[in-house]
Amino acid sequence: MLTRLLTRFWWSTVTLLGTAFLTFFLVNAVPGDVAKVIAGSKASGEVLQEIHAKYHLDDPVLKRLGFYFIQLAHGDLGHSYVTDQAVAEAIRIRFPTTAALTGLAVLMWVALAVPLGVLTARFRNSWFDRTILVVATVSLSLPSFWLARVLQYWLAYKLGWFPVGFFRGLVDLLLPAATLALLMVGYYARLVHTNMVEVLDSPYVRAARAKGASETRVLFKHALRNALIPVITMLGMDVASLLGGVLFIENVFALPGIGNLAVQSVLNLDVPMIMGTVLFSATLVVGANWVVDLLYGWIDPRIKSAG
Amino acid sequence: MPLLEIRNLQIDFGRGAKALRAVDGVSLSLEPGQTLCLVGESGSGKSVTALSIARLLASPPAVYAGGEILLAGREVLRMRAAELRQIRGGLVSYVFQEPGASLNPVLRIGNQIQEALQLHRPQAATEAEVIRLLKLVGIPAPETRIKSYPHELSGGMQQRVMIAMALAPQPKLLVADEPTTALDVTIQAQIIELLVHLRQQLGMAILLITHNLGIVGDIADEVAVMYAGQIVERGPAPELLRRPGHPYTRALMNSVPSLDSETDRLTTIAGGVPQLGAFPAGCRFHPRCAIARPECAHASPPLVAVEPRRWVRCPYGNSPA
Amino acid sequence: MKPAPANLTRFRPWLLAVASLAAMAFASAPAAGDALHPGGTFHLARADDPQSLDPVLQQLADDFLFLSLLYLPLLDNTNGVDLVACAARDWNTSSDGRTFTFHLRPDLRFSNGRTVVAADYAYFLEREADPRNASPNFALLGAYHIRGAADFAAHRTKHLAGVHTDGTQTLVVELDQPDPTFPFYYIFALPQEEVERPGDAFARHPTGDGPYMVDEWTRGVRLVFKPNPFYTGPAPRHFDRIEIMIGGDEATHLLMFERGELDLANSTAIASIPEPDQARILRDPRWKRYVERSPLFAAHFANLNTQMPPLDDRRVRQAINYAVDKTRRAASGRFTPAKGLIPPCMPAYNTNLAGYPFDPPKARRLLAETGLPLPLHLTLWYATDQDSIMQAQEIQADLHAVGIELNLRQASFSELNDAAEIPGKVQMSLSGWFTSMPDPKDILGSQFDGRTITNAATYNTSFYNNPEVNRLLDEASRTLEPGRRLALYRKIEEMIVGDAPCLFLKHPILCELRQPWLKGPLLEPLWPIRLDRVWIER
Repeated sequence: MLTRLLTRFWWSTVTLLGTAFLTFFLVNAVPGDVAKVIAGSKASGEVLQEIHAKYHLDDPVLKRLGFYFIQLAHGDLGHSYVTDQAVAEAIRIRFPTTAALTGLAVLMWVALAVPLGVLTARFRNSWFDRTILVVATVSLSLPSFWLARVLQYWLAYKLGWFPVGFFRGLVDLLLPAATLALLMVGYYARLVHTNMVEVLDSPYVRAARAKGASETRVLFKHALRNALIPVITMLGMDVASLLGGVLFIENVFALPGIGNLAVQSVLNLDVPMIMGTVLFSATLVVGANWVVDLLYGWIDPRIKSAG
Repeated sequence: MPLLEIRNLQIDFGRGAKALRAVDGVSLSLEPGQTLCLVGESGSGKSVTALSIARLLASPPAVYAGGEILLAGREVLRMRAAELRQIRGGLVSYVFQEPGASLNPVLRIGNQIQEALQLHRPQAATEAEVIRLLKLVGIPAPETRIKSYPHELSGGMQQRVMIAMALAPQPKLLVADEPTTALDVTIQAQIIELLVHLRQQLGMAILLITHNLGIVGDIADEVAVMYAGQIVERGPAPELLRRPGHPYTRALMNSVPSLDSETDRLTTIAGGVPQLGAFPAGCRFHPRCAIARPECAHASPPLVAVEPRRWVRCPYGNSPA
Repeated sequence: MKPAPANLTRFRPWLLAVASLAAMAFASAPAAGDALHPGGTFHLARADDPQSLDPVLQQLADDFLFLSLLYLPLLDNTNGVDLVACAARDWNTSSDGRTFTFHLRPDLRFSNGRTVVAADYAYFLEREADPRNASPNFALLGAYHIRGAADFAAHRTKHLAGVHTDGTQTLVVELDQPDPTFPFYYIFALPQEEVERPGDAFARHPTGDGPYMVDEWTRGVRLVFKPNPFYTGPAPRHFDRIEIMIGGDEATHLLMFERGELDLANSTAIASIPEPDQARILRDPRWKRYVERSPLFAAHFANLNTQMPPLDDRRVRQAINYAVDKTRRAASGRFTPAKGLIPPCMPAYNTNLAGYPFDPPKARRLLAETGLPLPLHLTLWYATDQDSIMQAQEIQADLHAVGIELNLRQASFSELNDAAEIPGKVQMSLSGWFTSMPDPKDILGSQFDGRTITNAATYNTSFYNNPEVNRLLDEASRTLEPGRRLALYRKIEEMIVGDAPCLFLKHPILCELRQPWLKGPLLEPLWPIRLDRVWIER
């Protein structure tokens, strides 16, 4: 058990280090000079030189990466080249918005996807099932920025049911969360459906029916728990990547989340901020892997004793 | 009155022009306390027949095209959902081929057995009763076992649990669909022995589906042999096994290896079971039959009672007398 | 002094013009104090935080409007042409045009309570002139050649020799050569003890002598201003609170504006109404009365690289100018078609300039004259904003009609900038210039001085070099007599236009959409959006 944990930890660290390496090299390979972003594109040579010296921009890449890791080891994510704000602080301020938005959206789409998936599996090939299939396919094909704008225009601007943008209270997250939920619900409804259909055809469900269990009991006690296991894995990974930033929705609804921060930092070639947001996102994904594995082991007894 | 009576059952897969007949006019009957073995190779339609007794076939794609199934005088094919749930477990219980797959992997076995009790004998749905059932089927240390998950048990144990679960609601008929096929030979013998023991104790009828003639002799009162969706021979077990009337039955018996004969090779039946919808013309067995004649390709022989309670579907099989 | 902001291609360190709130006293608007206009909260939304609230580190044109809330410049303006005293009581220029003396108001106070003195203005200038501070305005200030600036920048002297104070109320600045445009360079007072305090960066928590101070700044969320309790400046202050929400984009902001949640639709320095909504707003009876327009000291054009054939042939460049119709979309009121470089709102504007009217047959004739095989193939680089995209496509269509096939190449703002500086790389690029002085020195001198083409980061991306123009530019920049100066610059413009190193396109007009209850003079050409001059009346 302990060796398993240690191995996991080792590989997680390798993943994060690899991500850091790759990101650093990629950012440095992008043409453009962050000094020009700070001082203006026509800044004089002296000024540019000062900035280069201040941030060691002329040092070889590996040396700069080394400094970065040393700094990281001290728990310091550095300061933005452009705004001088502490990277950790910027992330800390923005993260709760993205987290709240994601959390709310997850609740919404799971609450909708699970019943839809169960019912369409139960009434397979009925007109209901086919209609939901079409709707689900549409939902997962919708571009996020388009849906966000359309909902904002009709529900917030025209009808005034929701605020157009900005985050002043949790209520302001309802429409953005609903937008995100609508984008995800189609995929999840189909996922639940497919898993339910598979489970409903399995021998133990047949055995349960042979015992005289009602269809409802079969659905909920026997089928659903088994069918949801892969869905939970998927959900864990999706949530982790959403927590790294939901860019289009945050942008359209003017929410101060991580997505905006990440994109702006890339446009600015703001290396510490880019590294910070990427590592943050990568850590979330790696962490989510852990959580999902643990959850999996807790839900599926076969996994636990397999070790 | 027979406990189970199947009359001229016809089951198709698919509809209309694409329908394939898997069970073609099968008739069986079983008295209370009696054991009937339904024998045949895979694809003969025996499992389909067995599952249809409690209407457990997935429909679609299965279609009950004709015939009747009477269980304790009640017409299964016309039952409504509530009544069907009542007879499932209450009247007829099942034991399936792969016990591991037939137990819900995320629920403890005690929970699953208790569910069977809850559905039909709620007043007896206690842990004590579950333990008693586990003891009945020969599971050691049942008090701790009730907390186990299915995957924590061996194949043989799993099957015993399935049997316990099947017996919990005290059914009159136990349908065992290839209960030992997925198990080791030694475990097979144990399970069959268990079934024999239980039917004596509980006075239960058993419909045992198998392709293995080897176990039939130990347990069957009556044997029915199926091929390509039809019954080709039927009769009391000792008679049938001693003097099989249908070439197919004979071939099956020959292919069972015996420990005392010296053989280099196992005897097999040439060819394979025909696919649904691709049955040969005339007698369905004739391409593989050792005594086939030219007429066999044209005429489809009917099931004929060559003696009281003895049917054979072959005019040229050795007549029993 | 600055290249056209936002959707134009270049940003240059912003020249800080001196704003005069005393202009209010001389103009017809009532002077008086706060009692005249009730307070209230002003609401605005912006896509991004300002990069910095320290004027020395400030470079984006879009962030200028914050400076007018926080700091008082020595001199200010109301109409873009006339300077009026603001933080200075009065000022004068020496007869040789090289020395500027400012007499300060004695009663101005910083938001930390301290009285402002002349040394604070000197400190500001020295900070900008020191390359260690990496000020985006370094080059801009450097163009004035303050005496001793080179030595100071090389750290050979501790102070700028040309900047000194005479007591606490007088500031004197000496230039190496005369330059009448120097007063348009905005000079602010900065408290050294606050700028250099340890901990909290001055750029985030500035201390200024303007009407407001920063109450709260949560990056990415909101920037809030509250009244500076020590404010004693000449102009009245109108709001109790200014709330700027950070995030979203212009489309979202417009929706919020229409619902009354914002007092101004947008606050970027140019063209506030998003392109796709233009037509709708201009027709909407609710809003069309509240669209305010102001001309700018700016020009849009496309650089034609005179060193790359076939653009090295002047006839080809002139043909391009004749081929393109500059009046398309002019009806929207967002720009004036350009004949040259000097915009109509500048005094030096030449109404008699012939320029290149739309004449495709003449274009074809010129091309035929060159004998070059048609169609010619050229590449136009442009940035990613809406206006550039539309402009590029229009040019492509027009040139196609005269036998020039234009390949369009879109690039990011910084990529475009960097590429255009490399000789022989970019044939044509959409470009522009925005200056904050009513004098053509910047617009003509910065980009068409042939001696700068060898600079590493040159603005002269047409690589144009006409020795006569160079000579006249030198002479004009030193000319103090207004009439003669104007004449020289007009001549220079004529020569440049004749050589056609650019495709002259348009002079943009700033359009702002304001709520009916927002009163006061919001726009002016030098420092486009003046939140310090407006108030709310319901």
